[in-house]
Amino acid sequence: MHERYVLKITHPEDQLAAVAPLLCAGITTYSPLRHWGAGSGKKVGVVGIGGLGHMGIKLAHALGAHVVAFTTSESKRRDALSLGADEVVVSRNAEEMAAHAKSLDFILNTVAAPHDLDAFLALLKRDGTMTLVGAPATPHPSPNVFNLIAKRRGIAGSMIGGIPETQEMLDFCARHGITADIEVIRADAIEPAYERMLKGDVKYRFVMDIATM
Amino acid sequence: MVVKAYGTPASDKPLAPMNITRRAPGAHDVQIEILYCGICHSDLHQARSEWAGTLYPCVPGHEIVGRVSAVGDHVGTHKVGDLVGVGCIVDSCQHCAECAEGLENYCDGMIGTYNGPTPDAPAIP
Repeated sequence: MHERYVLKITHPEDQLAAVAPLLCAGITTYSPLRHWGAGSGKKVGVVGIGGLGHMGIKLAHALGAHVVAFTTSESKRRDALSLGADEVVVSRNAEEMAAHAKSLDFILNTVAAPHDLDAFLALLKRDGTMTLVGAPATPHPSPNVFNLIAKRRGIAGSMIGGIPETQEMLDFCARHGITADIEVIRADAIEPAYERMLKGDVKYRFVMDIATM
Repeated sequence: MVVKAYGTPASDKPLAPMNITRRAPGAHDVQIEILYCGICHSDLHQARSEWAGTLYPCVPGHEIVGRVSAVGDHVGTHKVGDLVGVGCIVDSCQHCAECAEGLENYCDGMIGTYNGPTPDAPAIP
């Protein structure tokens, strides 16, 4: 393929399998975090702790933000903290959600299933933005406009990233020792892996060992 | 050139080994021995045509890492033996405002790593 679209990897070679997911999950979360200024002094929410979300937490933490992870499953609370979240909120718990009302500068929403966006918009400060990177097959319920106009909040989208920024992300990850949390599978295990992905039963990305093909 | 792949001939068929034909590497091309490939939910969507318009046979995968095994005569940025990666983008128009800003991901002519309309088109001049 054309050299223009080939990225350089400077991680140690023994981390190569865990670098693979950076090429999509990494840049899909890095690009919006950078574009909306996630960094020191900013309180950033990451919604959903899966393939995208686990990278979002690691990257937002490495960029220096105060990271609040949102999950529907109590069982992921400890994982989110070990990935680099400063706080974890179980989004089904109204009291926990209310404790963060009007406090977040930016929310990276990685959830692909249709869900109530208002519950998260209410957590944004004035001028805060929630960026959607999950791609639901059917639309989210329309958000309440009052939740936007009352605090000049925004909803945005973002799709992967350009080649220069993808290289920047790979270099950033190499400098900070960041890779994805992966489970390596044989090629002939791809169909069971697909089924497990549908159930969210992977921490947090499958990687195929091409030597087994 | 014929290469080994893992793909599916139709939306209701499981992924299985197959041979696919790729263009011969051109002067600006990098040939990569693929070592690992991450599996993204969008691979599943595309393999099963859950988003509109999957072209078959479909060989999913866009979190690719490996080692450069050959380079074309005009390749200046990569050399044989380098560890490299390929993400979601394998081509873009190189003429629009997005491409000029290095935002090939927003180019209307972006070609995805698979399910691109011209996956084996002649090398970009």
